[in-house]
Amino acid sequence: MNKDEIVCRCEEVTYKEVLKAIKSGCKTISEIRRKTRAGMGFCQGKSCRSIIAKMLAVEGGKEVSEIEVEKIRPPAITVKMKIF
Amino acid sequence: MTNKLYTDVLIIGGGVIGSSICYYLSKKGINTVLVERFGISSGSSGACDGFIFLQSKKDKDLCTLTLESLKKFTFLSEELSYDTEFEKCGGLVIFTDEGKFRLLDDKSGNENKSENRKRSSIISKKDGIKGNNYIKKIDRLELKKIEPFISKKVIAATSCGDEGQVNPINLNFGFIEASKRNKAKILTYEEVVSFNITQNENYFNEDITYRRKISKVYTANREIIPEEVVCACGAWSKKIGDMAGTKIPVIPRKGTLIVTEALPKIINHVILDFDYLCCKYEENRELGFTIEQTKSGNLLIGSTREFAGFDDRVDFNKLSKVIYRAKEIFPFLGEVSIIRSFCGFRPYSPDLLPILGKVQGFDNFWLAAGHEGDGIALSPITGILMSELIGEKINSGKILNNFLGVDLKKFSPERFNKV
Repeated sequence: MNKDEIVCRCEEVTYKEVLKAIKSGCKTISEIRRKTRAGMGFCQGKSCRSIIAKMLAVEGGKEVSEIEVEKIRPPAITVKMKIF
Repeated sequence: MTNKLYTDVLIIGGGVIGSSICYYLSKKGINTVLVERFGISSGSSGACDGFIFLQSKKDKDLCTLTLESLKKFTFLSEELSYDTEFEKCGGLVIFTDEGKFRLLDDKSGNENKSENRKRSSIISKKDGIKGNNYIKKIDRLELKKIEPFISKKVIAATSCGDEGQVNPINLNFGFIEASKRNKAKILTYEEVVSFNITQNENYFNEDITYRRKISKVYTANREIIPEEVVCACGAWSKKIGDMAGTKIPVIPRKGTLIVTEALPKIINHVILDFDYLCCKYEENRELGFTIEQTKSGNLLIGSTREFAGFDDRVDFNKLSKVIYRAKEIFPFLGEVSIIRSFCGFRPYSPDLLPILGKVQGFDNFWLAAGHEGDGIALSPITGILMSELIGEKINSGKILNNFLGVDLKKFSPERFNKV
């Protein structure tokens, strides 16, 4: 994978930045989210969550299934406030 | 147990308070270890807004500490080499009710109106805040100029130009990264499971007093032997107190926050509804409205103040009410999308003041918790204060009782042991 390739498209976080966060001690998807903003954007990590889980697994010598699943925060899809 | 670790100071809690204490201690060259049971910022510091507000500080000494904190914030990004996204954008407290706004001027000593007087004093006007015009009153016309999208329903506001906002998560990571450079050891995903406490008999005027000392701290795979132990577990501090056999009166006060999609600059200040301020002082009120726009453009809308234990589910009804109020004050919000909502737990202290200092009956157990909604704003000064206290004790064995002219008895954990 190209080091400058974007992992989180909403917040434009690159592979390199996520890797740096993992190297600095981040061990879960949610900690990486807080450190790099990957997964904080409009889609709430729907596309980058699985890539980051895979990266954590590779770097930590684990299986993807061992990576802690991030708590999903409501709403499941974005909604306009006028519906409330 | 193979893994032994000796340290001068052990800090429990990797939130903004714990990491700030860690940074300022390690800056003094004191050997420091921080343990956190999950990741950095995984508790309240990662589920809050970034207000640095002065108008809400009713207490004079709390005001002094907040002002000092504000001074630190202005150059903290540079000091930590980490962008904390601090911005001195100014803060507004907004009023939709003429009567409540007039109360600010009501200084008559009418005892029947004590409830009203209590409310008006919620906005601190003079005591801690220097200068007569520090907090300005703004009418609707002026408000429209500085906050063009605000609804006509808002009839007035009070403003303070020194207030600002910060990104709490960046602040937290900034303290941690800087601590690491200062040779502090950060242990994440390690939960403290028990203490080993030794009792010392002290003879004083023929009275025997027992003073306890935390001699060992155990995590799942490590034994830590500290000189001093600091509990900075915010809303979760009670659990650590129970382990040590002392009562820590901090309970969680839940808040619900909403994050919207990123927008161009549309809100210029950190804004608090007056009713939200009242929530802090009235236990049976729990709904309020606050809004800020973060550097990334997302709006952060809050909030509730509920006593609901550690239930971290978002209550749809309360969320709807906050949104309803938000739309009332900023009508454009109807067209804006919510991308997530979450809850955080403020560490509520019974007298609404943070608990800072040495725990009574212990030789080496310190507490820095109970900031309720002010933890982010007070984090730099809490770190400095605690590092001064602990540093002084390590160097000279003395316990300071004064800091920046503030009598520390007021904040000491001992205050809850009286009566």
